[in-house]
Amino acid sequence: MKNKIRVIIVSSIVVVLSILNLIMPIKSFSELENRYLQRLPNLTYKEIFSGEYSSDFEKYSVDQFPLRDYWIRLKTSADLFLLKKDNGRVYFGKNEFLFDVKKDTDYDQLQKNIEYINEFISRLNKNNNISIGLMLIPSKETIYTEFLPGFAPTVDEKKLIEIIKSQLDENIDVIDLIPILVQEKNEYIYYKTDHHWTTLGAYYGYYALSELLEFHPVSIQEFNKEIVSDNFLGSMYRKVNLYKGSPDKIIKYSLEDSAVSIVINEAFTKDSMFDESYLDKNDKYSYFLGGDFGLVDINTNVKNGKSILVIKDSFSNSMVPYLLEHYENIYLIDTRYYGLSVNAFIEENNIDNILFAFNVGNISEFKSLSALTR
Amino acid sequence: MVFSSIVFLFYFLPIVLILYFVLPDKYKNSLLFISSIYFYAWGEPVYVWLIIISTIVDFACGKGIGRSREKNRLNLAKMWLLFSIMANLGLLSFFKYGDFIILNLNTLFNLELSILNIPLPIGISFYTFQTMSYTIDVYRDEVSVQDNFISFGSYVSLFPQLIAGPIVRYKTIEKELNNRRVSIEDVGNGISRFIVGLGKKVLIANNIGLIWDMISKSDIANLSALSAWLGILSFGLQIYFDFSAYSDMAIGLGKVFGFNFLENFNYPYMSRSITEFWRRWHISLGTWFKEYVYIPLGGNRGGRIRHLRNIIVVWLLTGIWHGASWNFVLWGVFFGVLLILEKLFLLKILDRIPSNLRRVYTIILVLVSWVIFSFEGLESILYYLQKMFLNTGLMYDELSLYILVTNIPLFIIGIIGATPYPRIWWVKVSDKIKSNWILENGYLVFLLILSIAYLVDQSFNPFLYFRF
Repeated sequence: MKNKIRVIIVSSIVVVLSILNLIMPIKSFSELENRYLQRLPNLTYKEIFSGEYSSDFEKYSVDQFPLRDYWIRLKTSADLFLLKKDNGRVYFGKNEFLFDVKKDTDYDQLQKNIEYINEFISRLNKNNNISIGLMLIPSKETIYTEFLPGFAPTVDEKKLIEIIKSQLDENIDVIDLIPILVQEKNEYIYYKTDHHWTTLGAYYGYYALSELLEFHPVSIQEFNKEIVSDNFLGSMYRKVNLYKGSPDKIIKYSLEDSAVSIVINEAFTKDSMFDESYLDKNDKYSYFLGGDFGLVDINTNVKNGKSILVIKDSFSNSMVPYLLEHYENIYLIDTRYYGLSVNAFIEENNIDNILFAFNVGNISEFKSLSALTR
Repeated sequence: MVFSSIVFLFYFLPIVLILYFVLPDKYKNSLLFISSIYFYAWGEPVYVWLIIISTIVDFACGKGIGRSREKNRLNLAKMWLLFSIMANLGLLSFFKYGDFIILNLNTLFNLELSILNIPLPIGISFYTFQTMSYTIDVYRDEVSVQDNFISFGSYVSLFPQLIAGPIVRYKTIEKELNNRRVSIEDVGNGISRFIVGLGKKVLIANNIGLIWDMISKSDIANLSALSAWLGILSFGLQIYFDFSAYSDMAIGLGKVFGFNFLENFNYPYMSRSITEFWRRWHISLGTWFKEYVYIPLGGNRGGRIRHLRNIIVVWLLTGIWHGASWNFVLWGVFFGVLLILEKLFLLKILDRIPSNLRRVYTIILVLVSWVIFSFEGLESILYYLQKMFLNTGLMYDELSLYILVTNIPLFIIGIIGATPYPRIWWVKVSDKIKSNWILENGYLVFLLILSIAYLVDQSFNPFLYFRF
């Protein structure tokens, strides 16, 4: 009796799900996870014998499993029921915040990166009188500590900033954004589902630069404010697949007469700081500048002859649009993608200001800063 | 393919089961053979020929031994046996230990032999041991020669126990191979055993494994004592729940197909000595070494020195069986020495100590052994042990508190689940409940549904035995 019923129930569950597997239509895109799903792989000799076929088929079987979204919700609910606060990649924070679970800091790499910057500075031609700044942008774990799960280990960015300050060439002015952003933490300055700051967070970064770079910052009220996306699910979300809060908003702040011409990698041109095509894609943060490029050369219609070189990571992509009002030429270099000598670039172009702008975590992780010594 | 995957549960298994129960008896072994080869080829599309060659060689050797024995030519029989053992150990040495041997030769003699860089074929240590059990037992006249290649092939490649054990000796299923009957009771019990195994693997082992993953990958030099203990405790629970879950699933599937495999784990963490631990942990491996190495060497006869030598030989081999690297040798020797000490005098002392203290003694030593097991370099092993036993760093830190707080329910479930108490309790209680079959089946369905959910969101589902 007991066994008979068990056999019937369990085999019905397995058979029903197997049949559903076969008859459910294949989905190509998951709205919930905001990503493309694995399709049935092609049956070729090469794929079979390399093992690729079976591993793709396993991905397919998981991606196309009937009622997939509900199974994932069930799993996450069970995790949360067991008091789990992370999934190994992301912390489920309070207030609907998703935070990055960062591995340990690589202090050796940080040391190297500081030395790369110092060497770069020492090779600059002192007669040119270039002002140099380093803006350190904290991660949201540092700003919103109270929303992290209790005891959650994070990278101590304050300590990293102290190390950087104490060892960096004194010709560089360091702008530590932690106190500034902590003051504004009640506003929407970081995305909840992405690791980047919002355009408002970036505005405070821009504002903090005004003293060093000697410009009069435009007040936030003067910008046109436009919500360009209200369903942004960012990098943190993509590592959890489930989010109970509402998606983030991307807000664009712009001034009307800021026409620009942009040359990317000396190869192709654009006329906008924003790339709308990304608003329909997964990676909506690439709306800003269309992502990261080795060299971006921006020419504005502010004919004041001033120029700035920003050596940066992706955080700056949403900050640079504010600078359009103050420079005739803005150059952006991303060392991860720039293959030439930065010093030579400065020699060839007439540059008044150099700004390093990095996320604190990134500056201790990036291996590409060695490019500065080329 | 692994049991804990959607492909196995919802593509492979239903098709094989339906065919199996539809086909007449005489085709059942052919189906098992073909589907097992498919099962293996899914993960090893190239190395599948190894298992086929191994099957052919041992099938032929078995026949050779049988025929020589009939003609009373025992020396010839011995040659066949030797050939079979050489072939199996040859395969194993080349594919599993080749690079290890080359690297050591290079360091020893300052050579510059280039390494082969061959990925280890999954399950090779399991199936070579199984086939050797066949030829050795044919030689010893303990089993009769298998004349049907399909039957023999289905024994060697039988997918329920193919890639992660237990090591089923031929004699265990000799009769069932050609003549087995399955009742609805067997199927029901098999399903129950399989689902419990699936739950142990997917719900407990994988999740506790995440903790070990986090701690072992962090910088060991900065570990706090609490992190080190939580880490190795997690690993101990992970490997028990993972490994015994594979055996549960194997035994359960075996039952559904009409095979009765022997038990492989018997609540090892309840052991009151290391000697007892190895009677409860990976029993099929211990039995294999006992039957085919320890006893042929003379076992405990022939004086104390020979006895101790035999123990050390067996444990060197047990260690290296788990992986081609020095830490596994050290791991085996660690146990060998402990077993010798227990035999010489420790057991006598332990006998006077209360059971629970003896369990603490056993578990601490086993946890130390897991440290040796999980780090390849001696330096990391010593470092980790220092963090556990010597006060060289912080007692606790944020990482350890975070792990403790967010995993308390999981640790409690894991620790209680590693004891026989839940089962004892249920046996007692279920007698008093009339409709206990509803509760039992409801529990199994709950486990199955939850396991599917964790499989669909496959963030962490490791296979631990790729080095075996």
